[in-house]
Amino acid sequence: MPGGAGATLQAESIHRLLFIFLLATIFVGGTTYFLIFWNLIKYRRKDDRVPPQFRGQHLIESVCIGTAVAIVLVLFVFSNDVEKFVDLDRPNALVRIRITGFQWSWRFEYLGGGPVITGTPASPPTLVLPIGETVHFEITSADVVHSFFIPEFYFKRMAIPGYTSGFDLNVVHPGVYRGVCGEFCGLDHAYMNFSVSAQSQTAFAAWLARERPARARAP
Amino acid sequence: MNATTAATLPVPPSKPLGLLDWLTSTNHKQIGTLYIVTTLGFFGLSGLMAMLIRADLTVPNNPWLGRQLYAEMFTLHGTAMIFLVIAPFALGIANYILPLQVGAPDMAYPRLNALSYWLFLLGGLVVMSGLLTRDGAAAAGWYAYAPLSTTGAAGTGQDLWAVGLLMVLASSTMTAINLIATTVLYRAPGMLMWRLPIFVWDMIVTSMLILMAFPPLAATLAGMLIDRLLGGHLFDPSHGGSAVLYQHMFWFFGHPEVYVMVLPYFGIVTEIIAVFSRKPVFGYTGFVLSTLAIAGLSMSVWAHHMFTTGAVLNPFFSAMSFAIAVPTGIKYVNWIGTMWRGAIIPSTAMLFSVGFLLNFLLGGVTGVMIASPPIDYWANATYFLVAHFHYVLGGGSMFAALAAVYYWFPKITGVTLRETWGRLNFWLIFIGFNATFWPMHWLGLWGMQRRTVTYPDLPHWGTLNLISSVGAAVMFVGVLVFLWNLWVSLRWRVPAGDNPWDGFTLEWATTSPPPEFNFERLPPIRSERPVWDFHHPATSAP
Amino acid sequence: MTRTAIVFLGAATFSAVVGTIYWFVSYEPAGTFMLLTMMTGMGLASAYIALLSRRASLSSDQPAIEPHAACGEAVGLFASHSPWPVVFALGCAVGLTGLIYGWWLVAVGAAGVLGAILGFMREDRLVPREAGAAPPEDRSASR
Repeated sequence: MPGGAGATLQAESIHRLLFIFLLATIFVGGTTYFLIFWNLIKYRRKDDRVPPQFRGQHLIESVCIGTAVAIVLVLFVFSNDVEKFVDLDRPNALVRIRITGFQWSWRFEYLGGGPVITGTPASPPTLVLPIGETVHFEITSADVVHSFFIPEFYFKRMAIPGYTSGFDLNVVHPGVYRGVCGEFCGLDHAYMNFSVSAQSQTAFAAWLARERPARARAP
Repeated sequence: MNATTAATLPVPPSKPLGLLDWLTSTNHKQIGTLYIVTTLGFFGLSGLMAMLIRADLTVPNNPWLGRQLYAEMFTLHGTAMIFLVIAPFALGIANYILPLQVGAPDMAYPRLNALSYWLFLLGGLVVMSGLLTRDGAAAAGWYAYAPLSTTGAAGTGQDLWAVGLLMVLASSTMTAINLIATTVLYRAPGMLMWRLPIFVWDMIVTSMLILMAFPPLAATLAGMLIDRLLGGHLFDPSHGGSAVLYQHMFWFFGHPEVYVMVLPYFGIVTEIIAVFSRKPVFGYTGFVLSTLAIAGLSMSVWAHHMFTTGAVLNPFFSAMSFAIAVPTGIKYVNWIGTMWRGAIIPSTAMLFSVGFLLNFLLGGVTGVMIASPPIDYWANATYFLVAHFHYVLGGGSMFAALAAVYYWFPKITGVTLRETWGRLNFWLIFIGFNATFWPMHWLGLWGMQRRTVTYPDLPHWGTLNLISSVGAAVMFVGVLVFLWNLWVSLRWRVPAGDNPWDGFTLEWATTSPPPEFNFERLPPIRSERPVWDFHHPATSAP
Repeated sequence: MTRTAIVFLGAATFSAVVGTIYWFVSYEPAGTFMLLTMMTGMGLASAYIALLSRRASLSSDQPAIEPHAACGEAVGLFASHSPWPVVFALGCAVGLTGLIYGWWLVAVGAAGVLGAILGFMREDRLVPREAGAAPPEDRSASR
């Protein structure tokens, strides 16, 4: 599996979901590939006789439609369950961060009197997060559409001007993670990176205390 | 229909028709030929842009092409392939073949048909003319989200893009009307709707989709021009407009558009598989009904392109997207059932059709994955998505387009394409295509975002990108072999005759190429395979 | 032809149903509006085809007809050449790019388009007809 189980609770859930989809894919895809090759080899033209000219077979068609509907229903149920968890959005979490995307970097404001971190393409900002607790985010854009994408969290959310969207992340594993902009936003789209530093709750609290009172970090 | 009938038909003119004749012709066969040649031209241009993109991405940390030109290249590559190649090629084939398959003398509105072509050609040239302007061509991506494309993009390239596309949209809408009218009004005696070839059914449904989906894009582009040129703020949030509205309007068009780009090719592949398995289509009625289901459902899934906005009702669109997987997947039952217990002939057209089956399946299953919003949060706007849509549109529609050329080239020109060069053509493109796009699934899930002029030197990223670029080069050679085959076959002509494939449908009942008004006489029509019934009376259905 | 009318009616009904469901689950105005206008468009096409099919009875729709039985039936009017499509398209291209480069271009383009429309109309009136022959049955959908 690409990337391992993921660094957040949400990512672990998405990772398991992808595994279920992969199983379904291997079953459906494998059966179909097999049938295509089997027919190509077994029914290759051998002589000039005209093969039996049947036009259909209702039982086969019905069974296949039924199977397809069943598979799709099961996948939808699993998907919907994971979505309900990943889309949870708790504005009264202890740590709340406002993300603003702009051409061509990010601003992270720790709400409730915390620091404001602003980056540039040459000096990408670092988003410091605690592990083991829910962090709530509000995201918007100052100009064009961007997307806040952390590949190892298996997650992205668009930053849209004039619209604010909320989401939660629960980081599980401490570490430094790569972040990029996931929606083309102009010339320096490829350089609109950031990093995420996930630390233990004590380290995070210490960092927060050092950064107060709120001051913008100059680029 | 047989040699003696062919000898009494008028001989086509032996010298090529003059420029004035091509400029003023309203005959569907000439217009269809113009479409096919023009789309092949745009395909070549767009393919070269893709080669530049792959050259830029071969090595990490190396934005060799430059940020501005790179953005123009991926914008025009996507725009051209979608608006100027895949859809118009299908409409061009339909232009040529549909009137023949229904037994009509021409399209219902010949002058409107000619107008469609010239609007398409000029519209495409207007889009591309942005390359000649001082600030360059459109560079906001093929879907051009506002406000990047409105307040965030100076220069006339973006305006030319919108204006040119408005013309192309008008062109396709007119063709859609023409195709529906021709099929409704000008079918041959006995050609009931339920005896229409599958390709014709797929073109009718495609035309309905065009009628439903293209006007919203026209409105969106008009809105973009209002914002850019006339001081409007429809999509500008800083003055009360809405960026999310742009996405809703665009994708309401954008999703049916992908089915416009795929349904004609389902029809083409279905016919070819049937002819080269020497059996009728398996499950004709189910096939038509599932095509109609796809069309309807495709109008209700648009915001699965907006799952990551947080601004739409994800479960509704997810449910509809999973639903549409059923009628699409069921077609494999039809295709495999057609091959089952048949007598399969591995002609080049059949090879490309089987390639379609294999590639489109992979694109289809990745599509079902991203119908799930949580998986889409991971995969959207990464190379996983790029892999998905290239597998369905490239591995799918492009392969079927090549199959269509190998299948109908004899009917259009009177000569066959060489089978040996055809096989080489197929294998180069099949291997090259898969080498190019298979690695992208991994790159995407590892986090390589799309539209990035360069990427960091993370483990295996460079290697996979290199494989992808080499694959693109192999495909390029495959396209050269294709062009070579065209040239060789036209230069050293091997006459094809009326019906080289023992085909089923009415186009094989007339000469190659057909006379001006298509048919001197018609066989009786009692099923969806009138020509097969005529030549194999012992096997016809009662 | 009634079958075609039914296909369009099916599309219209589907849009109506999905549009209504979509409104009540999402209260999202843009998508709802587009789905419901789609219903109107498809409904219009269906109604028109149904009206047409009352007057016409096509030999295409007779399942056991022999091809020669429809001999002599005038199929329609098919122009073989016309210069006006190119003129119209050029007028559009020039006129629309005039939105970008200057209103005088829009005027030139509009003149071209108008000229082409007049050309089309003139062509329609100049269809030659043998003396005494009844005009060919017009199967085009323009009446």
